[in-house]
Amino acid sequence: MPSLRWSGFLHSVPVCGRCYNEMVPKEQLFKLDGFQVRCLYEYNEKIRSLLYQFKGCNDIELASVFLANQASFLKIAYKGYTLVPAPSYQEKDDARGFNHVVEMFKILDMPFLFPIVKRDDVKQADGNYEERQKIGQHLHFLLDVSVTGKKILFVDDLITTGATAKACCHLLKEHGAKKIQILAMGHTRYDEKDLNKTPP
Amino acid sequence: MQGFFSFSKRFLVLFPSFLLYMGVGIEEGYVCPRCGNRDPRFLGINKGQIYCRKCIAFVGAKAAQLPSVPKEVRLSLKYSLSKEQKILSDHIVSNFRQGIDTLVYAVCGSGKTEISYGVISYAMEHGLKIGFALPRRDVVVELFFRLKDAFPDNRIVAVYGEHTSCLTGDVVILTTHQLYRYPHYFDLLVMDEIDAFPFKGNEVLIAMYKASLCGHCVMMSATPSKEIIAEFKKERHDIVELRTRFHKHPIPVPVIYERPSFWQPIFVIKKLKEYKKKGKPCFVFVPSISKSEELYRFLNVFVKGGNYVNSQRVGRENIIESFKRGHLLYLVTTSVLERGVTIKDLQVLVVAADTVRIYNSATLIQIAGRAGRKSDAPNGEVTFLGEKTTKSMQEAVEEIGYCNTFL
Repeated sequence: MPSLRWSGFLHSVPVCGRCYNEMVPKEQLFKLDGFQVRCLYEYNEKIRSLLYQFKGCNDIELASVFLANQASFLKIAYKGYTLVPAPSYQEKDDARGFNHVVEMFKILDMPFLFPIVKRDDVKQADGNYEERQKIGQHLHFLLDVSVTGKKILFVDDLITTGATAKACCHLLKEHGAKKIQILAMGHTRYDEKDLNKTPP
Repeated sequence: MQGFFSFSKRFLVLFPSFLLYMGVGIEEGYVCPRCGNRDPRFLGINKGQIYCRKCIAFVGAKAAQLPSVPKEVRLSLKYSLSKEQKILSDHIVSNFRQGIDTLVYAVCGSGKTEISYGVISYAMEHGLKIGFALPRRDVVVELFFRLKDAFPDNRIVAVYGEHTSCLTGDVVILTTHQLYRYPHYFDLLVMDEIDAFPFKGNEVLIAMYKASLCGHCVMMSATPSKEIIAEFKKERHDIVELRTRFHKHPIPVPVIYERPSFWQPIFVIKKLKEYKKKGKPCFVFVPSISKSEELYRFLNVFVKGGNYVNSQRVGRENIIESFKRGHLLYLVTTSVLERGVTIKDLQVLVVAADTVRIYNSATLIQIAGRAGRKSDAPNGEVTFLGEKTTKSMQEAVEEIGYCNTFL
């Protein structure tokens, strides 16, 4: 635990080896509707509890833990890209005090753009496969933000069925983004049984 | 963790400016009102407010402060308490009436839970709020059914992770992690297995226990630490001791075998075959989760009819249940089953008992206490296997031998 606080302030200090191993770093590269996706971790108990403490209990100090060890590599790999975080419901962010995706990827020191907003409070984790694919109905593109000719990196904390990522990337493409890639912290397998799981 | 500290120290030497980053923006002397944490490394700032990171996960509904009324209590026990148990039980009640906290220092299998029934029924008759806290969830579930049988007319409520819909009742049985739901609530708090993980040495949980108590407590343990004993030697505290089991048979004294580590599994096979002939169930304790699976895979080749459990195993309740019913011959286990388990005529093997990191003397005494708990099968065999005899193993054997001299 002591290392976590440190890494929050100094990005060059990575997560200690023991915690890093428990998080099971497992890079996965695959294509989603023609968009390149990179996932950094396998979703496991450690990631779940860390994310729960970060998102559910509003522990902002954990923000940089997730990407601390890969940050320097990612900075080089995605040079020249602009980050677009996954849209989240504004009132939820206000209640939490921060946007978890933005805080998590701040460590990359890359410019952010917020062209997509979610106007309704829908949670992807609660829906089944069909419901998840309809996420596009709730997303709105803000026309005063220009992504034309830009290289966009769409970032999110977890990717499950990829419905949100797909919908957002298609929106970005329609509005003239030059190149789009997806970066997610963890990759979860979509499983009907897991839906009823509750946090500890 | 040790590796990290040496790593961070190296950084400290190279870049002393690191020190400036620790606890930036947090004023000195902030104390968390809930858990008493004052370490700036475990404080954070969100929305301009300081928050404590140690007890951040303890969020949830609090119990309502209902006025409780005196209740009629009918205690139904299938057996009667022994003479010593009766004396102790009365002693605890009189201590509670005088407002004295009590530590019950009683050996494994002496019937600590039954001793506490007296004070629980006294408190219920007087309309006080009663809690029964334990560190482990499996034990909470088991105790819930035992108390339900003992007090059939009263409402017993179990509160543990993922089972928190009902928070109030005549007696609340809860894990120590749920104590935060009851700030300044309990008039009587009975705590068992206080020396067990995760309660032992956990400052957050200890602070929560202190915050939830507004009356007096009864602590119970077979292996209390020196700090706890020292605390209960103060004024308005009392220690009562019970050194014999309720069935008046000696506690099985562990036998130590020194064997090289590659030979230990083979020794276990020999013992298991012997127990299989006699039809006795057996626990094989291993020091780590990975070892439990590894050893089971090896043993399964030679002795069929076993299984393994550890804290990560999904569906371990079913495996333990089938072991209790006698469907399984042996169970390879980590220290999850070191306490709160009563199985008739159980034999115990401890592999790599010289692992100091896991097995201190208290743990070994608890493990040895699994054997011979029932009055119709008071004997059992406890075997410690190690490459060498450690101080903890020696202490455990001596302590059990000392308790047996009280017979």
